[in-house]
Amino acid sequence: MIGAHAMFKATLFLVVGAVDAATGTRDLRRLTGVGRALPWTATAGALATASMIGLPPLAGYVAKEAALEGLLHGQGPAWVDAVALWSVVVGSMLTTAYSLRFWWGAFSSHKRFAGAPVRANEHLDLRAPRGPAVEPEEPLVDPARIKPLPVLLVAPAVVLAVLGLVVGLVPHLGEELLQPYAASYPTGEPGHLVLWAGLTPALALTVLILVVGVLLFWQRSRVERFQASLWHVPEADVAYRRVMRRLDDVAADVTAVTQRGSLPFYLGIMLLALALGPGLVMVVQTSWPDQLKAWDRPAQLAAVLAICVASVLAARSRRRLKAVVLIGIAGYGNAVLFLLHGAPDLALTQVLVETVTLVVMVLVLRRLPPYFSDRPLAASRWVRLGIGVAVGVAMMGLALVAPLARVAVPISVDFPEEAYAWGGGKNIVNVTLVDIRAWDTMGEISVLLAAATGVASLVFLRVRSGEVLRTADARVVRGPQGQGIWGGEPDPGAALRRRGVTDESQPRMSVWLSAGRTLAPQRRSVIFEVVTRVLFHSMIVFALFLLFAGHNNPGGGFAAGLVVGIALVVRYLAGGRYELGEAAPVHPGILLGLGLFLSAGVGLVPLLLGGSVLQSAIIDLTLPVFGHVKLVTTLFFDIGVFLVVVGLVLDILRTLGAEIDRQGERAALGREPGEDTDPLSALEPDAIGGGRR
Amino acid sequence: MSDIDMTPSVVLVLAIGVLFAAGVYLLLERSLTRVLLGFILLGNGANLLFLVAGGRAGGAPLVGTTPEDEMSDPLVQAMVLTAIVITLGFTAFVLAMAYRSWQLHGHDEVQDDLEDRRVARQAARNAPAFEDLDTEESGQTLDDEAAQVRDETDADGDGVTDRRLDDEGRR
Repeated sequence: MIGAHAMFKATLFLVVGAVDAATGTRDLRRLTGVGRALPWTATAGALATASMIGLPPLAGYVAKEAALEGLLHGQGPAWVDAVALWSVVVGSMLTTAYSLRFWWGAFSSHKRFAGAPVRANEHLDLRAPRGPAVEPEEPLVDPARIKPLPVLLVAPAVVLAVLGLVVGLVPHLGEELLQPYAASYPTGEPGHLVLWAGLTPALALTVLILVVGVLLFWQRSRVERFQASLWHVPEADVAYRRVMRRLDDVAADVTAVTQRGSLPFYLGIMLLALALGPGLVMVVQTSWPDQLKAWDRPAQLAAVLAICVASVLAARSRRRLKAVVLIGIAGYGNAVLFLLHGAPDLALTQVLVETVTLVVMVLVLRRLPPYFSDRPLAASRWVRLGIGVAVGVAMMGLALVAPLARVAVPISVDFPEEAYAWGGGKNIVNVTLVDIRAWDTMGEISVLLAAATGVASLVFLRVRSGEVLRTADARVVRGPQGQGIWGGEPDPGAALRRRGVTDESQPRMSVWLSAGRTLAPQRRSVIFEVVTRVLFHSMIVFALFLLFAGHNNPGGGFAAGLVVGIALVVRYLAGGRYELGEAAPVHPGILLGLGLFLSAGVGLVPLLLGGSVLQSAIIDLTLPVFGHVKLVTTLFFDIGVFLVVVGLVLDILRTLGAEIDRQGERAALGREPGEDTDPLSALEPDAIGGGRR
Repeated sequence: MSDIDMTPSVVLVLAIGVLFAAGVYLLLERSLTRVLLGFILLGNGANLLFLVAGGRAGGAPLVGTTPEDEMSDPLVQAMVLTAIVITLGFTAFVLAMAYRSWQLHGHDEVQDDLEDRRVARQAARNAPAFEDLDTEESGQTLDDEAAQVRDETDADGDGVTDRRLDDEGRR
């Protein structure tokens, strides 16, 4: 039955497709004369239709006979068998009727019916185009034009249809093919497929089916009227659409409630969940520590007081700069706590990061309005305060409960031996970073690289790469009032300054910073320049010391990179953006890329030597000058980290420092900051008067 | 149980609480600069939380300098060190965003999402569910709506974002 079904249904689908392709419509009311124009398609359709209604001698007939036979001798309860049998019979009758209607409608040449049946058909023809072209009132809708079809479109349908005929005539063929599959069913005794089984009840049923089906087809207009007069269930299509509309509505309501599009709202919900979820569990189910100590070291109290005061004042501050400085104080307080806790590496890094952060913040804030914008949100302030206090209290509870909840021995108790024996370093924190947990560090420097790229993309509106500005490139900025970089404000001390001394007449030897003269005169400080000149190299040497000593003493790639970063910050502050280019005449992207490449590359080398990724090795060397050197390969990983950190700070200075300077100068000259996107003006970086010196 | 003294010290716990509370308070603001400052405070608090979770204070974790049983936990230190440096990268990124926002809009406030508001308005209108039309056009583009949406930072409703440069006296 299924094999026959596949043959005639596939044929019918193909035929419908062919008709659609030829005429451009599947609307029966617009089809006429298709059979004459497409004889092969019509024949295939006829065979398939005949097979579907179970007309001998086709596969459908054979299959239906077998099915009826099977149902007549069913093994189930009598009433089940009867219901099944008569369902099949009635269904087959209807099938006969609609199959005939299909074939007649699709292929015959007919004068179109009168208006009434067409209207009755309306609700059945959901897919029919309901455009102005099809007016139900018109008895003769414009017949579709028929195009000839390529053989390739018709042939598969014909082949399948003929196959249906062949299988019907020679049923053993099908039986032999299908027997193994039928046998795989657990129940039911094997039946046989035959074309002529004699005058059986099944044959009688088939005849009955055919007669009733033909009758229904013959009286189709009455049937249609009868159908139209019935109350009809909403079609699946309409039901589907309504369900979807409802779903849309519910979705919109849910979205409107939950997705407010307000960042503070989202954050508030999350933080509230953080405070209430673990907070409630803590209140109900945990055991609080039965003993507390006030402090590990009394000095902690002072740092904590400083942190608390600074944090609260920062939260209350209306002035940006004040808030930033207070946050900085809290950060330095943290560094003190780290130091008191016995974490010199953390303290060092925290101090350096805090310094860089402070400078960077001030660099950006000089362009932002000095005060936070004021909004009438008095009510929501209390809500925010409430959430803040709730989260704070929950975290305090967590800090009290979590340390005592530990049941296992910390993994780090073995770190001291491992660090020295396998990592070859005495500074356990550094060995942890570059060896034991090197994957963490690898991920982190990737994040740094992404952040640096993001910063540059946000601020550089002209070419992303930008060029490194050198002193020689500085067509010294002589604006309308003849000011240099960071000029533009009244210069009260101008009269005291001897003209000409700071410029061309200056002998080469007394130049402390080569780009110093690009600054506005009132922005220069000889003391700062001299100190910078003297300190810069010491700082670089100190950074290198931290880098190489970091394996055994506090230091390491992060701290070293930050020290170099601060050295660059000092150069930039003393000499402006051209001085930055002089200090680090490389593109930060190169440093970032090189650093990540080095770290990853060093991590991969052990693979080639049969080790695992990021494995370290200790190499003992004896060098002529240095004597005995214990070289740990993780040093190269740390150098990669160092380069990434330097690249990050340099990138920040170039974007949030130098580029914001440049945009600020343009804005001061009457251009809006956003206008830098103009491609022409972007080509000339500093074309503000003055030629190349 | 580990043999390390895990009793938390109250001052550190206090610092954690204050840092988190102030951090969250700032984080829930709309000004991007304040959000950033809040995040930094929050980060500092989280770092201290790590430190407390690692146990009591001790000597620097340097082999040979400090006896092993007097060392502070090196693992949490390595983790916190990573966090500190990431915070620097994050700070720079948010600052760049704040600066760009100021360049484009004249302020650094985080605005509500327009698309979300449109959904909310449609839900409030509660269109009937029995229209079988597939789409419902509001006849407005997103830009039209953007023009209509009330600017939260615009207190006096004149369509211009207020930038109050001098209100210290009002506090």
